[in-house]
Amino acid sequence: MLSSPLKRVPSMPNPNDRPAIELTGMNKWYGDFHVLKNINLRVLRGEKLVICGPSGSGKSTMIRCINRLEEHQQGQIVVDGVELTNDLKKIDVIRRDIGMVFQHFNLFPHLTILENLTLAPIWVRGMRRGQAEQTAMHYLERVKIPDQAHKYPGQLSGGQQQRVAIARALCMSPKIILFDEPTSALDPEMVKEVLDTMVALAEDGMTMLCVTHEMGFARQVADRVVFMDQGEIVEMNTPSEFFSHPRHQRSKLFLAQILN
Amino acid sequence: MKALSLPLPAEPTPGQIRFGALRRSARLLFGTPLNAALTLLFGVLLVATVPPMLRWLVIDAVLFDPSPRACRVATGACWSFIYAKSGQLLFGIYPLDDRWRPAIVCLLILALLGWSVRPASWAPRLAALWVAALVLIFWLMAGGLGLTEVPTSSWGGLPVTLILTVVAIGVAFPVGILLALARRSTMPAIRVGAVVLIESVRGLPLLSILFVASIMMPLFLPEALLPDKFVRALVALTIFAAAYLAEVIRGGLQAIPNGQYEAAAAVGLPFWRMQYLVILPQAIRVAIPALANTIIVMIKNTSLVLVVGLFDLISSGKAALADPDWPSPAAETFLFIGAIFFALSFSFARFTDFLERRGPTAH
Amino acid sequence: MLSDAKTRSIIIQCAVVAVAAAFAALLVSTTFANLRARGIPIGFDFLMMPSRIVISEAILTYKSRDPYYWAIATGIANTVFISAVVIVFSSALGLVVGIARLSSNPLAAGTCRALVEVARNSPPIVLLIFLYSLWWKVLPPVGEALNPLPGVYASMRGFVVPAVSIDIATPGLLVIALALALAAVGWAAARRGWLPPLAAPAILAVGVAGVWLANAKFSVDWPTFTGSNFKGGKELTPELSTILIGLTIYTTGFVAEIVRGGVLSVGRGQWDAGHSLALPRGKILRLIIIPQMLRVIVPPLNSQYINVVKNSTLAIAVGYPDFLAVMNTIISKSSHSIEGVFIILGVYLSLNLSLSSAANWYNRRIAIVER
Repeated sequence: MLSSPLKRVPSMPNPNDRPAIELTGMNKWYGDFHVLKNINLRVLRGEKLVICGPSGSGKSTMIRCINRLEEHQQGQIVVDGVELTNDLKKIDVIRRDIGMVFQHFNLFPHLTILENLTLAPIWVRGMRRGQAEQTAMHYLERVKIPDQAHKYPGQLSGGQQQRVAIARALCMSPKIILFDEPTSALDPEMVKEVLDTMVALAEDGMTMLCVTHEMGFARQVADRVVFMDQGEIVEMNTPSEFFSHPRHQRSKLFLAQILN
Repeated sequence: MKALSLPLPAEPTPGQIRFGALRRSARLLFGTPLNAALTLLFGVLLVATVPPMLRWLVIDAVLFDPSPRACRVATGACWSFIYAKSGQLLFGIYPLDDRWRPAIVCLLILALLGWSVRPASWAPRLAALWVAALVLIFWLMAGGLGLTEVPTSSWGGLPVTLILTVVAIGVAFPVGILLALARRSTMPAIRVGAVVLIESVRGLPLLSILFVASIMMPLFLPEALLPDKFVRALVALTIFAAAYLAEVIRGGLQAIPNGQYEAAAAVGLPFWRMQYLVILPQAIRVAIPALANTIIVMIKNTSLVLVVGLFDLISSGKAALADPDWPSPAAETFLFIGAIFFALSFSFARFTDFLERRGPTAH
Repeated sequence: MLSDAKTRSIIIQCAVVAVAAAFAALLVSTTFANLRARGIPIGFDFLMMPSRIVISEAILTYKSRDPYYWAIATGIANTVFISAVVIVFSSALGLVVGIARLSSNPLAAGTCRALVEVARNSPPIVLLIFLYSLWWKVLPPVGEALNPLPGVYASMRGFVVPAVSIDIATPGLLVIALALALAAVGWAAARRGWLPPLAAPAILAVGVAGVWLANAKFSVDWPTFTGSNFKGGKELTPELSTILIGLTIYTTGFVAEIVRGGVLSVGRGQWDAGHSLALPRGKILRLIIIPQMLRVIVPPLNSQYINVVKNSTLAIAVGYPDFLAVMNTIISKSSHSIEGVFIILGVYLSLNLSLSSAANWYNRRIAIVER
């Protein structure tokens, strides 16, 4: 989508910093089905990762483990120095710092756009309504739909809804944002507006983990591309390396399918 | 589905099994403050109610001692009464020597019901089987042709409940289909008539319909046409069931896409043929879970006929309790009757669940 | 001619109407003939005559020398009272039980499931008769009445609860009504941002002050035990208590299933979104799931409420005089059966209609805006 003209977004992750996210030897099963196999992944602060792979490869499950929408059974997940365990307090602390954008937006259909955005700041951060609404309007302007604030999600187009969802995540001022196929449920003509918002976010230095098949976006924004298949991380590389010289047979096959 | 539970349930996985079942159940019971509070609340509730109930039901109860005196001194339930009176409870005032006849009738109806819920036996043949069975049932119950005649006023207990349910639904089913079609008709007079009929019956309590049928029908009808009490109750139940079945079938009809009508019309099927061959078979299949639900409602509803003086299970129970030799264990008797209804309707409910899980399209 | 679709449709309709009319005419003429043969007059004049029937208990004040119409009103009041109490309690209980059934706590989920299955699979009339038979088995005689909550006594003779009476002079009542109306307007206005948010409470406070100035007397009549009897309070007979408890248990089972279905109908994405915003579970339930669930459950809940009104007729099984029982007595006493049937029909249909239109109004109000 964003293939021409390619421009690299400068980012300066420092490998000596404490990693934003660190997964070590993580495993997950659904019953007898081994969905995630020995995942090791280090994400630095400010880094942008694009995760791709065939459907059912476990990429969504992996990022859903990072904010504990799914439970992992083995290994470690450390987010910003805090390890994810059954401890509900820690889960809460981590979720406050991680925003998430879903494939199907998951806006709250019974609340107006503004109420969608202010819900968590008011009830989780304990912000006053007026201040929360100010923040919300600020982010709605950033995603370029301040005029829709008093409408309901059902009255907006898919692309607008997804931008609202991004704004909703931003309202909690997260340190990390997870994107779970944010453009897959959108009509083709709406993909660009959402990707533009995400690029702008990347330029601001946000740490981003993005499950997507938008290879143009990966080329333009990603520091690294992670390729997953059958629950494993098969290959991890810079976008230019990954697209021009995929090392694994499975990556080649996948790229051949996706780029045609 | 699972993720909606609150709080999220843990799934048994190889990784987790190593933690041991004990730890897992401890986590479910006390894992979060909410869960711990719930465990405490329900624990106290169960400890306060279950042991006294068990003591009354089993430990202090008179189980087999056939003499009424044991029940007078015992502090627990008097099950020997149920045992001693089981014939009267189940068959009411049906002549003693002929109780084998209602017994066979009950078994026959239950066996047929069991047979009918098998999806494999859903075919027009099933209807014929039911008609044949009903003839046999009426012969067994009423007598004649070699059996002693027994008037409907002497029928009682479980067979009355079962016959009323089965016959009311059986007769109501075709009526319900006609009403449902009428309600979807393009002819305004017919549509309005069906709507008025269906909605006023559905808006009224069954008891009021039973009252009208049993007490006021003598005023509405000429003496010669007046049916007996049993048939009057049956008519009321049938009208009631027909209105509810009509709505269930209409739901099924609405699920049939327009293309089916167009395709049937395109091959030149006239209205009734189209309904019979193409539309209704699909609509009824879609509506089967809802139909089964209506049958459960009807099983429970037949218990209301006692109010108009029919001898169903509850009235037989009340009659048995009147025996002055026994200490009148009312709670036990109604618990027993409730258990019979529960068994019937619970098994039907599980069958409905099975149908819903199976989905409407498969067969 | 007959193959013309329009003509055929008209002929069929005429035929159906003619058959229906003929049937109705037959019914009416035989009924009139039967009534004339028995010398029974037809008409609603009897409503003004003294009824001389006995109504064993009533929410309204009723004496047997009151006219028929007042007896009917008394019956309606009893039915409405039973229905209202059962609807309120079973809705609250059903919400809790339905949500508890979804809990991961096996003890809570299992107990609630058992309760729901028993309630849904037993005929309500058997449940009522069973509970009624328990009454004298479980509860102590008056002398040893249980006192589970302050002011609430339970014994073989039924429940005794504190009676609340509000004694307001008419001007005070007006002030209250006015204040409530203003508060509602203020609340609505504040929601749209026309008025400062404190306007509604302020108006309400003015109203309450007005009531206080109007010298209203709120009094709670606490029952006291005098050794052999209770003084004061409101007495609920075993019959009334059985109906209220039995129908509440029965209806709770159905409401719980509706609530459970409603919670499950809200997609899992809503939970995910709530979790990803770090909202705790209770808040997700309260702020996101329940408001959306309400829209799904209002229609089935409404038909359940209509069922409560219909099931209140089962009061007859334990001898409590609800509307249908009263009508039954009136009909057998006055022989005005046709009129009676029409009154029964009219009352139940209008009760159901008012419940349905209330539900429809609410449903429209909370409908999710789609484009």
